[in-house]
Amino acid sequence: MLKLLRFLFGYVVFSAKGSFPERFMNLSSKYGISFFDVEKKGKVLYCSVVASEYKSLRTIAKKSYTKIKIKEKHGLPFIIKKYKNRKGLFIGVICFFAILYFLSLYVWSIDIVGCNEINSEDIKSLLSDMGVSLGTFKKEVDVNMLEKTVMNSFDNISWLSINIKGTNLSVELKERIKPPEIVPKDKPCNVRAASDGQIIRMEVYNGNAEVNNGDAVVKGQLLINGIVEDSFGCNSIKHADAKVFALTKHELRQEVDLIQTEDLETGKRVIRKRLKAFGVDLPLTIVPIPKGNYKRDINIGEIKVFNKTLPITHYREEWREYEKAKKTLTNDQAIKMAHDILNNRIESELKEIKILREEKNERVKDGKAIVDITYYCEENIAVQEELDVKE
Amino acid sequence: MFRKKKDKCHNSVRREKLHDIVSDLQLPAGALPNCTHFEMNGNREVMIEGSRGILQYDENIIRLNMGKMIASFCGRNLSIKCLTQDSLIIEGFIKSIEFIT
Repeated sequence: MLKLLRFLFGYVVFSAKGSFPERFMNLSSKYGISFFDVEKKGKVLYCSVVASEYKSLRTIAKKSYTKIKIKEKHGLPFIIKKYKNRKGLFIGVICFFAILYFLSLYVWSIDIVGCNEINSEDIKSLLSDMGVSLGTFKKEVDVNMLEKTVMNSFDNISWLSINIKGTNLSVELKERIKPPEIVPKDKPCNVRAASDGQIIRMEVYNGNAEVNNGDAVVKGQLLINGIVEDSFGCNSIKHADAKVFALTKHELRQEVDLIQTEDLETGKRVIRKRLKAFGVDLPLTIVPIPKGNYKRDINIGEIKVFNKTLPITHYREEWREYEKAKKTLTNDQAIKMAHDILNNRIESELKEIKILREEKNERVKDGKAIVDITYYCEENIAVQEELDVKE
Repeated sequence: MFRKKKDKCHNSVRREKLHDIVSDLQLPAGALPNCTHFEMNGNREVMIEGSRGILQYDENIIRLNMGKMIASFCGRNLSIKCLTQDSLIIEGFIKSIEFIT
């Protein structure tokens, strides 16, 4: 702090030579002039004093028969004096701070944190519809109103907070986990079969079982009845609930043509570059969009400083020309391709189903490789169906 | 000449009376006017308040006028860190302090 003050006011390091420099020091302190960093090297005294007080030291030096000489000058007043004639420099410094202040009044980056299922671009587009985008005046941003609007627009946001830190607008949100749709336990319902199969075991929690183990059932058949008759012959309507495991059969077929059309690159490429700064597009290359069979790859380069994205984005578009070429697959290659496609289908279609065994049938017919797979599975086929009861 | 002697005598009587009052009231000795005050940080730094001037300034000895007495600070690499109207800070390796009254 003291050093900063000394720098701001400026200070002088001077030497004092004389027969009795102590007298010079005493007189100076008597006149209220303070010294610091006083050192004596041989017969010469080296002192530092605030720049504005140095002039008054001359008369004291004369009185005490001491010769004083400036050795070093430090501090802001001397720097200003040095560059006094270079007005452009001062104007530049003032302009720098003015521009810095002016730019700090606007939003230059938008960060969205916590998006898993929600697309952050959707939130950005909503914000821009509300008039908040890169280059918006910070004072015009009504954070509370924005929070309410975004919360109302997206059903699956449980918590949201919008803060403006410096020139960065950060949106922090937490997505809501949707509960599974279940028939309310107080509502009466039946349990029906979701697919054809043969029942192997049942876990009935509520309701009257209409089928037995070993029975073959078809899709939509009533498995557990919600209307239960007691020993007195009275009927009561209940919320039927059960797990019914059955052996089921799933048949999947995949056909692959032996003659495939492929996109082959010709090697011809067109590169277009542009810079998006402060919401304005600036083309860096004067190349039009190529016509014909071209595929585009975009490489977006964001400039980051201290982990903060600057409002300057570099786009590099690479347009590659391609032509369609025919390729003939061997039988094995075509069957392998069909199997690969089938494996992907199993992951999506037979998810959460236990596969017991499978039967494969592979053949090549009429220029096509056909793979038929029959899966024998064990799965819960119970599906609750609400009962429409009228009083 | 006679008047000066009388004034000096009068001043010393007044100071003694003041000293008595301060000791009776159990006030710290620093409460007395024109009292010198020393504050030491180990043997590396000493802050002196109430100094009336520097008599000798050297690397090995600094002698100060304290009014009624002369204080000598002996040591190595002694220097004055800061000097104001009524106080100063001495820096260096202080070996001994001597008072001459």
